[in-house]
Amino acid sequence: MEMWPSLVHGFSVALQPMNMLYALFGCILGTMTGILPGIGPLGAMAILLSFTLYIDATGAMILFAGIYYGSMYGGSTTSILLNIPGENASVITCIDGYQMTLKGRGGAALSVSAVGSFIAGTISIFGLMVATSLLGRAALKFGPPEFVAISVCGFVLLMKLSEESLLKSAIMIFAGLAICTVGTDYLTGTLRFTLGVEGLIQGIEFLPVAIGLFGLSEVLETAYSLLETGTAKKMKFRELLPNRKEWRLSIPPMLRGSVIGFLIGLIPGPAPMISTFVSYITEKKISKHPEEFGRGAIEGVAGPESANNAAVGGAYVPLLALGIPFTPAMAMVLGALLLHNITPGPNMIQEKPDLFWGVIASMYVANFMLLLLNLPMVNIFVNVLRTPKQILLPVIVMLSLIGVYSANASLLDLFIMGLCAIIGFAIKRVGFKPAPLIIAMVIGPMLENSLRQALLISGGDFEKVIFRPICLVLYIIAIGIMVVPWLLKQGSKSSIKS
Amino acid sequence: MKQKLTAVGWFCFSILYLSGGWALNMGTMRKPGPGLLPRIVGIGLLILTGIHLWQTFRKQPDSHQSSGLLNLKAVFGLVAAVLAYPVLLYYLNFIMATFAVVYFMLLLLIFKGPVWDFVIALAMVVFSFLIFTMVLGVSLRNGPIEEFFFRLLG
Repeated sequence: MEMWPSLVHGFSVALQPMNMLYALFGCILGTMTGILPGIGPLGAMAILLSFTLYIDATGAMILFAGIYYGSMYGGSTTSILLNIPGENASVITCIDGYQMTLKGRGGAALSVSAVGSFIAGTISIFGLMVATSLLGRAALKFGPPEFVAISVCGFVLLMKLSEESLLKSAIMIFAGLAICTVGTDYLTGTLRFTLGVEGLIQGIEFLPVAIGLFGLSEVLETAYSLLETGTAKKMKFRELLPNRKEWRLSIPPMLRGSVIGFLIGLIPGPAPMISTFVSYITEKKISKHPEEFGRGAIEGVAGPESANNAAVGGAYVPLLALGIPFTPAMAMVLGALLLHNITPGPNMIQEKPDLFWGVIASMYVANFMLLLLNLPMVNIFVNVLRTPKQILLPVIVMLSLIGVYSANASLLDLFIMGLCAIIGFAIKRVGFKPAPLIIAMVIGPMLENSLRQALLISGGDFEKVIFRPICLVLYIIAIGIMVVPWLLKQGSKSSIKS
Repeated sequence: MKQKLTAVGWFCFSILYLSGGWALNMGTMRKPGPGLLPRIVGIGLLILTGIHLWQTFRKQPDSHQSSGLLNLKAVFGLVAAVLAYPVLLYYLNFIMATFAVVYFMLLLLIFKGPVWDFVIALAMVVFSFLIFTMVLGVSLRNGPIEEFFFRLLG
């Protein structure tokens, strides 16, 4: 299918009333989760994962895209108005966004953030369309050795770019791989690590682990710290309009942030957060007045806010083209697709054009909805912060419990979810992050299948598995990522000594 | 202390996992068996958790550990509610079990007082029951109370 006619077809799917409703619901929910500290987009996606069983796959993908985009915008609202980052991709916005609020330009910062997010979203969706088509076509030539190499390279990048230490990330990745080996081996029918428990024969389901590690552990975290939140002053509509100088200063950072965000989104790890830092540093470096940064420079809002939205589009590329999620949010999207027995990958564009192009078109729709909804409704959204935690937490726990039970009617899944919630809460307190674990758990089965297939095809010859052009490049990249920073560090140490 | 306990926990898990993986047939490189990945993962995990354990015990304890705003009672209560739910669901079926857990959580988090919490919990449970069974068509664990609702709603 040609790209533009396909996109038009995608719009015919995305503009169906039910799909518009999913996009709207996703945007509102995403904005609210972005605003509320503690309950992030991952928690919301994890909790809603079980409910996607009752809607079609396209609807589920549209809903999740809306949540993801909405959360990026919602996070910026509290960062700018209250100096409270709703989620980690909005931390950098606090620096200049809140300073602008103190100077009475908070409304302008919100507008720039919304318009920047819209521009970045549109650019990144265009990039996503092109990159996915190209990568998808190339990926049709990939065999099992290439998928092993992509997985290994992805894990190395994930370790290197994670917010936690390298060692802790590596432990989490291996723990995720360990979890996915539980159950029946698909090739030989051998039972692995089932401990005689009948419910484990099918393996550990993604749903209870995801909800436990992300949804419920966030609930426990919120209950533990009982985060106090402030309230913002009411914003008048005319206060939302930036002046001509602010627009002039904002447009170039928006465009640069969009490109930076999209490119960083392609890399495994917490891409939206990293992209905001890179964008901020870039803007500060090329600015004619870097001293303004930290004191309310509008470029410090426009660039990062565009970058985090563009990163969302970038993060979809490896998932849609290769079927490999490089971020925890994409692992949730993959989880939703797998619940509908859909495996994304290079063939998805041909086999499920409705789903693929419908989702891409719905991203445009979601971005447009966010632009239309969020600015006029900023006062309403900020009031979400007033929701008492005492009622919010029981509602989330109840929905999680019912959601997990309703998926398989399994009491064991409920125990696993509870256990994962405890583990998630405990490990977060000592500096471990569950994101690499969940990604490894999703990629693990594909890695094992590809590894065993590659060895079978090559007759056990490791050279044939490793020394293929694409594989070799990916392994060299992986080694380079690990070794080069270490060598540079050693070099700088020796130069300091001398 | 938390760091040390976690490090020991990870190390014990890796030993258990590796011993379980070792018992599986690894096969050959030509024909890899079900134990190949578990053995690779087990060895990797043992090495990594071993290094983590060594680093944690070698490190001086942090003098200023952040205490945060502690609310351990709420955390333990929520954990107990989540873990008790499958057991309650098994014996009491959906409405009673869910009501017990939600009411307990509302009381624990001190929302409005016992009477209001009772009403809110009841409303939440009945509403969710109706949504899940009637709108979404989910088959929840049914008993006499649920059957009564079904008969009432035709």
